Amino acid sequence: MSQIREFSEESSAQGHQAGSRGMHKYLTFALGNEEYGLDILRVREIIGLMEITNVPKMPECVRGVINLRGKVIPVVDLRAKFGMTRAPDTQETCIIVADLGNALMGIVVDRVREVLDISTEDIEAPPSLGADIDTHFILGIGKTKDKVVLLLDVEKVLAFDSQSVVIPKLPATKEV
Amino acid sequence: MDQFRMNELEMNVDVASTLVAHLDEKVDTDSVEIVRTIMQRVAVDSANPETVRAHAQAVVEAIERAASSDAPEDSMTRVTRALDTLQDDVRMLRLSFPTHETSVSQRQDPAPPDNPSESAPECQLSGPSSVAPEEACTQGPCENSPPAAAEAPTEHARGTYLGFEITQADIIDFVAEAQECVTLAENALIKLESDPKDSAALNEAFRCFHNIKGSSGMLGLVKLQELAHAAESVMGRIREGSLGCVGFVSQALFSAVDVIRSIVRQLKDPSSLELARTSSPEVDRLTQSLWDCLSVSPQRSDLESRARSMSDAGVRPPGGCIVEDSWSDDREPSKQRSDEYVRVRLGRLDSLVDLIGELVIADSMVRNRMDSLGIANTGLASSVSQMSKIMRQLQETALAMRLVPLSGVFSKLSRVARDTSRKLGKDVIASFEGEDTELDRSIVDEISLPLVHMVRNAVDHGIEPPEERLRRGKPRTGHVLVSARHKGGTVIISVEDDGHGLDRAKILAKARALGLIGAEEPDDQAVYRCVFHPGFSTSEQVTEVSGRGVGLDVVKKAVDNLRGRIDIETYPGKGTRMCITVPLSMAIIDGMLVSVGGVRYVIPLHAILEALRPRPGQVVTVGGRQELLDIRSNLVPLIRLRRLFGLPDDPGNSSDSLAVVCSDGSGQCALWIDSLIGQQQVVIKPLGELFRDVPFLSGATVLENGRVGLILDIGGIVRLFRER
Repeated sequence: MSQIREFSEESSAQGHQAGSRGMHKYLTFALGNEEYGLDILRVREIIGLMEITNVPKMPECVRGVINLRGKVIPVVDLRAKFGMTRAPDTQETCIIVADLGNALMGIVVDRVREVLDISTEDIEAPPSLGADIDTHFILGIGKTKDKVVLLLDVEKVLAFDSQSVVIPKLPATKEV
Repeated sequence: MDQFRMNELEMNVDVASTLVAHLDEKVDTDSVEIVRTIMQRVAVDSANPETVRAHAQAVVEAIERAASSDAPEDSMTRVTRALDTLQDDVRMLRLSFPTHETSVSQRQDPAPPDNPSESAPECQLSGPSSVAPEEACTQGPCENSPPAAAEAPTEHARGTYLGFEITQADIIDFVAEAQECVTLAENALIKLESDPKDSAALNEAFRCFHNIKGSSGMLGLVKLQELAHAAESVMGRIREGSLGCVGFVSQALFSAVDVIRSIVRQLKDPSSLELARTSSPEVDRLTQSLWDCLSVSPQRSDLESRARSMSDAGVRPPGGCIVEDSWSDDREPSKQRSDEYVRVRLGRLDSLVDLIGELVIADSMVRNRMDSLGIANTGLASSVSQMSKIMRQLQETALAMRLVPLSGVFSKLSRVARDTSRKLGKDVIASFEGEDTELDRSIVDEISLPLVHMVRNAVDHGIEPPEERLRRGKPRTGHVLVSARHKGGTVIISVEDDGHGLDRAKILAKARALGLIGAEEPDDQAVYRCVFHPGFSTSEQVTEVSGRGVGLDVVKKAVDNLRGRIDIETYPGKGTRMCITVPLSMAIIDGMLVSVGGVRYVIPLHAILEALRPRPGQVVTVGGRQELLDIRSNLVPLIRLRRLFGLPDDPGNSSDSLAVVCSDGSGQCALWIDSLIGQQQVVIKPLGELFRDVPFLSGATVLENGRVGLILDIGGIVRLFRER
């Protein structure tokens, strides 16, 4: 009996240690040729591309809203958000549902790759890429044996403040 | 007396009350014997406090009487009450108990080791301590717990009291129960004002204070408990008949209700538990003044001497001492209530309603698919239609569960009318009709504040002072009537007074001064509607009650939020009636499905006036840009939704396109759509933060094909075009 307890304590201590050393799991996905990662704890589910209801007058990166089993959640196109050219939807295109704490939000990506273990030691601070490229939503750059993954700060990527959402106050009907 | 004894005492009393609770009406000699034995143990155990012993004795006497009595039902109530008193005593004893080592074992293991900040204050509290528990609880966590720990969204401990873990759920339960009690007590007190001999109301008020006393003790809200205890004692004396529920006694009880309510409201934020435990001078003063009530000379002369001797000796009637000599013939109202209602957490109910909404959508998807596949299996078809029928019923039942009667709000209004009229020195009777009318709970919550403003407004601005009323040949007492009734899918609540009515000239002058109305001669409704404008008041002096110009605009805003309407009727010299029309439920609306640019949108049906296909020449263009639709020489702005949504104009095929004329109550607009699809009930879903700034959408819904449909905000569209 006491052995069992010792064992369980030990194993939980190990788990704890591993956590503090920062072995984190990331879900990686592709946009074009680049590979990005999201903290797996923020990912609620991955769903195939479904019909998206367009919401008029939203910025291009907001594709619209979907019905996720009765919940209406917004869907953001990361390609558009990052200023990449829009790719045609394929079989592999899918929506990652991210949990922002108070809300869910869908992210359209080209395809999901895998779940990667990356320890904090292998994550480098985001490089400064000059004034043209905004890196504030990059958490860091994760390195594994064979590749480099841009780790995204899900909250910052999906934060739509007054600067990123430009909704015209009045519809443009001047020419009417 | 040591800790062990204390525990044993508590356990014994619990055992006895469980036993008695299971006795029902039959009292056999065996159980009497058991209770007697237990009570003897109790009396011996609690060698010190005399009251416990006396009450234990009372229990034995009561159960003996019950065993020999031929009306067992009646006497069992007495046993239960005697036991309740005893339990209260034990609880009080517990509170004054200095140490609580043994109770540590009853707690769960504290916070995980990686979170020392959270466990620290608990350890201090629950560990063996020489500090009196009261002190430890009121001061310990306040000073020791870092703010981070206090704000952490933990479902677990919110602290401990006497070593028992108090969870957030405990607090929520307490708040729910106490709120109910406070409302019931208030209603009872109001009833007692008109009929001081109403025994049901007397018992109700007593029971409510008693319940609050008990449950606040469990959370360690000592000050609240003392206050409820004092109020209960006063109520007990009133019930005995040795104290009248009049004048300052009644006032003190009303104040007690208010203070208890405000403390309870504060507790809605569970982190304020510590705050609520600390004493405040206001509470202490009120408690004292309640005790003072007990020492006033009683009305009935035969009780006078006894009461005086009690107050002379400085004896405070302890907890439930009323019980001993006031075995009145009252019933136990709580029993029948608990049979009829189950208290369910609102969140659970909401998710149930949501899920059923999903089920209904899934059902229509199944039927759609069957239709499109052309399945001609009659057996399957009839099963599916059977299922749909049940689903509809299920949905109706679930929605009905959210409906609550307006009576709770109305009782608050009667209090408002009473207080306001007193403050203003007016004589006003408020009466109510249709308090059984049921509305969705969220609407009832939202509607309560506007109604308070309306009643206050009616008493302050509507009803004249008594002298003026007499001069005008009206009865001295003014009358405010609040009534509610169903009409179609809506509920109409009206507040009417028999005062002097709205002064059209005065309002018009003020409206012109504020620039709300131009030089033209407006119609009556347009004038009266000005009173809902923020900051609008014709009252010359700002009183404590109203006249600041806030109030009616709050009413308007709240009613707008509920997608409701407000109308004013006024008769100079005779009175004013304000009617609020609100939908029965916020969750479901009747909608008209329309198509714009291949996407389906929902227009709330209640906003639609008509749909028409404009003839050539019916559309006029003003200033080269804004189109207006001429509907029977009424010009309404025509809004082409395709252009509003930034879509290209419909290429040619405009045979289906229609203009839907809509109104939000304050203005009209005509929406140019591609085609009309049909009418449908839709479940409203929030659209979320991201779309907060989109002015023309009010929400979303899931359509029967599983896709999201967007609900148009007619008010928002009207405003959009009025601003230009």
